[in-house]
Amino acid sequence: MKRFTLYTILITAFLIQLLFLDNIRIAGIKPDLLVLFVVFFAIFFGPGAGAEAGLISGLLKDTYSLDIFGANIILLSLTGLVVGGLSPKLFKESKLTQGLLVFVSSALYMVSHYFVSLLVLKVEYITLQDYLYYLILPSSLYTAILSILLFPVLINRYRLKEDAEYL
Amino acid sequence: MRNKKKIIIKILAVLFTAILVVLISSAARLARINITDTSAPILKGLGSFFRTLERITPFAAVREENIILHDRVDLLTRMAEETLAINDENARLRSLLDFRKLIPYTSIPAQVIGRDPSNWSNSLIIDKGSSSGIKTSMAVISTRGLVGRIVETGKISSKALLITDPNLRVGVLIRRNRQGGILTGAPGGRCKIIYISLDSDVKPGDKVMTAGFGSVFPKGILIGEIEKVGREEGRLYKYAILKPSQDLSRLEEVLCIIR
Repeated sequence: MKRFTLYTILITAFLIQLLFLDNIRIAGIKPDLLVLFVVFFAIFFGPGAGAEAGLISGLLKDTYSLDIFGANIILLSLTGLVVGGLSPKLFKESKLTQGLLVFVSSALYMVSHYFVSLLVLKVEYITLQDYLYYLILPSSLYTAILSILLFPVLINRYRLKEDAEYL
Repeated sequence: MRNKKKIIIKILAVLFTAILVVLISSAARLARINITDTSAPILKGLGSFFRTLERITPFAAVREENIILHDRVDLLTRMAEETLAINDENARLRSLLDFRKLIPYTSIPAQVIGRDPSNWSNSLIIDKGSSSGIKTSMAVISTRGLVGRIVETGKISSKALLITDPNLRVGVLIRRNRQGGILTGAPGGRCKIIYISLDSDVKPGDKVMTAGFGSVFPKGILIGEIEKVGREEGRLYKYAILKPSQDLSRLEEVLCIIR
């Protein structure tokens, strides 16, 4: 896969997230396409590609949102790095493994974000339990379900093989 | 071996860039509104494209009419709610002859051209900036009630923090018993009212409006309806979960209030 393709996919996902994704909210919850793609690149192209995808996705998120600047850059880069590092040890062809990996990565990324927010913004009136129940778990589940539908299309489109080289 | 070395170099480069970005975050914050500004026309174009796609259905005309009628009903409902609040207020304030708080406000209409890409914060990007008279801290409303507050302003675009964001604080009043509290955002598109007095008889279904404390939000704007009331361990006040009067994820047009 060429770097150009990676960037095109990420920018397209970002634009969909910015302009369109609110239309598919269920009970106020929307999936996170950028986390989904970061995990995809990390699983199939290794920690380098995962971290790079995380860096680009985080930069786009931080630029266009009112979130703490830098939080998404660091957290998504780390997500890509960790998932990419773990991927050789996993049976990544299994849809269940892929979905589970997306769910866990998304949940951990958001839990880490909660602690960053707590440290930087001191949001003290909303507990982690509230976030877990109303945002983190439902959103991670939604993203994981979407990944089960999207990953086969992407794998087929880019004809990914076990020994595929990135860039 | 060479591959491993390459990966390590890449990882270090990525981490170094990430740390660098955080170190220069104050400069980056200034830069990001300019980036948003520059890309606003593209976002506006793409947004219109998506909206057009959505509208091209066999029942496009009926759908349009339905939307207009819904908007009209929302507007009238909001006006009725606000009128009730103003009537209550009038009765109380007539004796004090203090009508200065009821200064009518004018507004600048704006179109929503983007939404927060992060699941964490809740904001909107609108197509009006300082060149149209938008300033930071302006209150943003829609036909159904309060939306949020302008936080960043570029020349041709601005970002508004929504009432569902945990970083926004709004002084509120419960319409039925005139008791106050502070509204903040909560996960899942809801809001939380804190600092409600323990002896308050607040209950689900109560309507909540802006209190008009401070200089940002005018008094009497409908915010939503209380869904649940509770008491947190170790705190000397009640809290309430509020459902906003509108689905903030589907807003297309908003009004920025000039006070």
